[in-house]
Amino acid sequence: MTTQQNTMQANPYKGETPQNYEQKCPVVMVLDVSGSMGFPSGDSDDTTLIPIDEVNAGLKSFAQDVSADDIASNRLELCIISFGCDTRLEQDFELIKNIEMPVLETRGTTALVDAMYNAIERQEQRKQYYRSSAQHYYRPYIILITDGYPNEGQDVKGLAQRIGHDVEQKKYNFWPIGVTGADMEMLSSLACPGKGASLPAMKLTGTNFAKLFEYLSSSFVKISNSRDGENIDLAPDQNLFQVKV
Amino acid sequence: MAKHKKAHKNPWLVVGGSATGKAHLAKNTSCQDAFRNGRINRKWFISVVSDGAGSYEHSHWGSAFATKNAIAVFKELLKGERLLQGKSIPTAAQWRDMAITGLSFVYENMRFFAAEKDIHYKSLGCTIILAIYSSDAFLIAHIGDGRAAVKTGEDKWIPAMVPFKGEEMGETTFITSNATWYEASNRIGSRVIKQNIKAFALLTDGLESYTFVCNKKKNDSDSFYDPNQPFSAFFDHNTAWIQQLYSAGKTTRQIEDTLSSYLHDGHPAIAGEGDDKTIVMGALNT
Repeated sequence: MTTQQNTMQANPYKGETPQNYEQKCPVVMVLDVSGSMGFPSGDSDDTTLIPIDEVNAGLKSFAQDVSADDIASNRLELCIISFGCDTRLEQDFELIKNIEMPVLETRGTTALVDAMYNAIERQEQRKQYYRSSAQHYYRPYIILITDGYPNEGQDVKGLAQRIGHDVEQKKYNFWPIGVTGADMEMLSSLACPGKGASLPAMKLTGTNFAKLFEYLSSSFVKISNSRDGENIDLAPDQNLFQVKV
Repeated sequence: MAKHKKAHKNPWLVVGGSATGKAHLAKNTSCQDAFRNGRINRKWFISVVSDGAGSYEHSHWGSAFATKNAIAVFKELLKGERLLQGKSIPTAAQWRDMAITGLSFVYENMRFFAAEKDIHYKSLGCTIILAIYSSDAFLIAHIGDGRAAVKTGEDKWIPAMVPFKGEEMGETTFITSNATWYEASNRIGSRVIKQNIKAFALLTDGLESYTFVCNKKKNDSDSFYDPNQPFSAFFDHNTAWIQQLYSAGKTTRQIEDTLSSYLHDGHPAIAGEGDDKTIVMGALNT
């Protein structure tokens, strides 16, 4: 056998691949910035830890971790909606590698239901844009992180019905996450575990926001590297949550 | 090493390879793709690939059954078929009738198979790409996604099918989907390529980004489109490679093992793909 033959047999094609645009993976983070997020939590041993500071640090590290992955950085589009006494679009959909992360500040009460409806509307509008530009996309994710209970008078039941209907219709996946003080019964009523890639209501152990955002970034790197966003092992490495994922 | 004797050479060298995707390996899920090759008569050959639906529990059984059964069904269906004798080549309409008939038999057989296993037939959900070919024509039929390409007598790689894709990533139709049979005109693809054929490839969608130009932005526009253009560098190199291996005396089995190994970790980008990857490549023996 000649050297050329040996080389051919040992070296199949390792060359360039075609230049294809990446399909987009839209994620909406719905974040509680109510007044209680500005005070140390009773759960933490470190009484200097302020939840809102931890969330801001977590958002930055989330962006860095996802941006470090070649594929995820070109697929994941992030939208951030905050809620306190009102709801605010902090960051509209943008590729995560292009985002300068907003700094969230606490304000007032907990307009959770309004924020969730805003998130539902924003992801629907984003899908319309994808359709109009003939782009395939991953089913969107809505991630809710809260430490409390919605303002009195907000229709939680109605929201639960809406989320249940939408998830059943495969419009988006929903991950509800509670931190210290959160009403987990309320969050469980919103959750749709087992439908698509939706998860049960999860309560963060302590105020480990750093680990939470690390879990989120590694999950979304896996999801955006997959072909259909499903059938991925999303179990956290450590037991981050009091409810097992 | 013994070389293959020319007298015993088939007109075609056809090999396939599969590799479990990275995401499936992490979850300890077996490969849900399958492929199989066979022969209809002296002139016509058949190859099939199938991709099991990720979210369906028994889709690995589905794809394995579909590929094996499709070969058996089409061999029986086309036995003695005058349209595949001599120089005759079916028209597009004739092939479409044969293809839909054959695939409907595969679907019914999958339902019987599911009943025997006491499972719901939808849990076998999988796509299928089936090609029947000679050196002067390529007949293809498909349900679902994946890609196919042929190399013409002018040494040009052209696409052989248009995959069925929904809006969302991974969204497609399966042999077991009700909609496939209610909307067969939209959901079952078929085509006759009446040209000299020198080589071909069938592949599941886990490989499409690395082997086809399939997502481009239009100039001066925010719109995207799928050119469905085979990436000839990949196909030319790899069909030449399998021919070299065969000329060096490797058996089909050995070549397939080598090809599967290549899909697993032989190319840096393909190795990182989360989905299962399967390709069947055929080249005329010269």
